[in-house]
Amino acid sequence: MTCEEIRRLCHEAHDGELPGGLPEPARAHIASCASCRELSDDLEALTKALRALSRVPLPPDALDAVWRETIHAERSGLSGLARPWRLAAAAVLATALSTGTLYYVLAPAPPPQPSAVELARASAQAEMVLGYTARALAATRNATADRVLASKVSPAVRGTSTTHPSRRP
Amino acid sequence: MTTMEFQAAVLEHKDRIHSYARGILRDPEEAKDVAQECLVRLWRHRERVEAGAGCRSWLLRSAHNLCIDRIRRKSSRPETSRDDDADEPTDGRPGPERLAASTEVGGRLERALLALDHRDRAIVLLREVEGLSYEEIAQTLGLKLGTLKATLHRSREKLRIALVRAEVTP
Repeated sequence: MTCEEIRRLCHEAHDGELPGGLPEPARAHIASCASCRELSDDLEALTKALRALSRVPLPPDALDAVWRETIHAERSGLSGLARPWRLAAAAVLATALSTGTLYYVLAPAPPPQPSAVELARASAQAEMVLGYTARALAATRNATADRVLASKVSPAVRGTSTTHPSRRP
Repeated sequence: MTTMEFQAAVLEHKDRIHSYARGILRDPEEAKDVAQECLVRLWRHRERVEAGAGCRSWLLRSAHNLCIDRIRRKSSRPETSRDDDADEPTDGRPGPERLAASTEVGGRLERALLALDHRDRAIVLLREVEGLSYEEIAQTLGLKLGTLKATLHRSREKLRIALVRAEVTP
């Protein structure tokens, strides 16, 4: 193996990209090559130095701004409704609005109102029908009562029953 | 991602995102803005982002894209004008970078890192500081694996050589 190949392997092993670590021939090479051994040693030191250099906390005012623009904005904006409920409410409102608009646009015109004469005639007809119906119901009731009395009640009681004023239509 | 998970993710990753943006942009105010915008974006896209490792990758990718946007927008400005005042936070107090750079090793390493172009610096930071795998870095930066490996190894050699030449490598 050449030094170039060994150096590439050293980088990959340092990055954990070689599951089995450095292969044996590479280790043998490093043991006998000062330059490659130096690289192998320096990589670890370099990583440590870079990690010590680069972590900088986010200033508190920036973090406050993040909360303001995210969680706090949502809480103050829509009365604490959870997002799915907000979406559902918006969907229901949109559906209602669109249905109402469609009905207004597409619904047929209402039928014309009846005249006063037509209303009076219809009322008289309705009263007449109701009168016939009431009389028919009373006659049916009397006939049923007579039939029951004929089969279940004694002749003395039957005689009075037919003359009872309340049973007359 | 729930609201609770979002809060946990912000607290876990805020410094990581900020440090990364600072490493790429070399401008404390811009880095702060990028970190803030990145976390707000996470909130807006929280229904599509899984909590955990996927969230870390998403945030780093988002931060990287925001940094690149800013670099492109400012491309008319000379690069050196940013370098001169990059180490000093606007509040006048020395930040952790400045403190680290105040040591001999830190200072030389910082300068060597800043000498890399922003893409190479991003690769080094994502690998060495954030510990992303080759595949994760390739996805984050939209690079081919071969290009990524070659660039990472070459950049690391540059950093190492810079330190060796200065005779400060441990």
